[in-house]
Amino acid sequence: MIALALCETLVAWAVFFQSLELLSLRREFSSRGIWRWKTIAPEFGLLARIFRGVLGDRSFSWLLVFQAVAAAAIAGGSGQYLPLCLALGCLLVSMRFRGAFNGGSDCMTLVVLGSVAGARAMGSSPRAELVALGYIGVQSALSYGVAGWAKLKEPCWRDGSALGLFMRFPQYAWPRPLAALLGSSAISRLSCWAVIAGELGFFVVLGATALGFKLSLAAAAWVLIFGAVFHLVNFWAFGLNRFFWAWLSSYPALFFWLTGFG
Amino acid sequence: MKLALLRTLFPSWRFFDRPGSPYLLEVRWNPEREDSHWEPFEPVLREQMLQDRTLAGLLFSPSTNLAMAWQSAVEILAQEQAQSQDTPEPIAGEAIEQRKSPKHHSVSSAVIRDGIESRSRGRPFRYRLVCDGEVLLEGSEL
Repeated sequence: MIALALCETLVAWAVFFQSLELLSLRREFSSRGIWRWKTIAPEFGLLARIFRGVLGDRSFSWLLVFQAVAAAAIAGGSGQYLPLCLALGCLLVSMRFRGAFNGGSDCMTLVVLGSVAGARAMGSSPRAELVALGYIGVQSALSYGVAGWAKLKEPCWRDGSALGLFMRFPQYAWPRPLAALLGSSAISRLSCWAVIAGELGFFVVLGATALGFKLSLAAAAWVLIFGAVFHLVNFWAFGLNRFFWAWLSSYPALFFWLTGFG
Repeated sequence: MKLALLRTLFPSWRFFDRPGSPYLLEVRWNPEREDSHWEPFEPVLREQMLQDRTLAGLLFSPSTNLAMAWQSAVEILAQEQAQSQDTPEPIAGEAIEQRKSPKHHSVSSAVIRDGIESRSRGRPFRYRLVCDGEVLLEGSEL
């Protein structure tokens, strides 16, 4: 199915650039960096000796090189088991950073890649591909629904102060024009409600497809363009570039379910 | 093996739900010197992160992602410290200062020490974790 093939290509490019990013940061996981294998190894318990072969200070760089090459190969037309190797590699990379390097984007990358890998390993049968598209669709829809609902329950999101509070966090360098714009309480409140409404609205539209509701191709495209713009704004505000690509790689599956178009 | 290492397999999707207060890591280089003072420790400068907000940065933003990964490491340490302070039974003879010192054997505090040491250029240092003006823990190089 073309939808799964597009998911596969997009997630492969996402992993390709993630691997390049980490390779450029290799000093940080060397024996003189932040995440030293010697320090982290005790968390692997008795399996530390085994994992050292791929996650040790030097060998980890080679794992990242493998990831980049495998991702490029998959983007250029995959092998049957290569996506499975890439998914396992992504899991190992997350483990090297004590569970996740970039939180939610690591999870979504694995959701998409794991689903593609499962379908490919089972010979890309129509049934396996449908299950893969279903899992990607459910997780992607849930990601918006759960995030939107969690925000709706928080008073600081409802009164519009949440975004201003996130500006104080050192890991998010907000561009000054955006910070100035959110200095207005009216704009801040409007923005908070736009995020809540956008995330929950996205979930409602996607959830309706499970009840048999289908959109026209143009309407589905507009829904997904809206989602992509939402992630672009998040990139501008928070610097979440990995989120943009991880979620974009789930969109072909969403398009499939929104339109019933394979 | 710790199950937390596999947490990417169990997505929660509760993004940015509760801002809370940021945990700030501060460092004091050459603490024995009189002119030594506490300053924020951030391995990536704000300007570096802002340089990533371009079309190319959409594909490749190592500085920003490093800053986020580092802050996650700081938050994990803060959570572990909070859990250890929530221990219900009082520990006989334990001083408050002792409770504010990181467990040197914990991987989380070791990662933070390694991170500071990687930027120390050989200088001795002390560090502390601050939230809402309150010092949650204070430690030093081994």
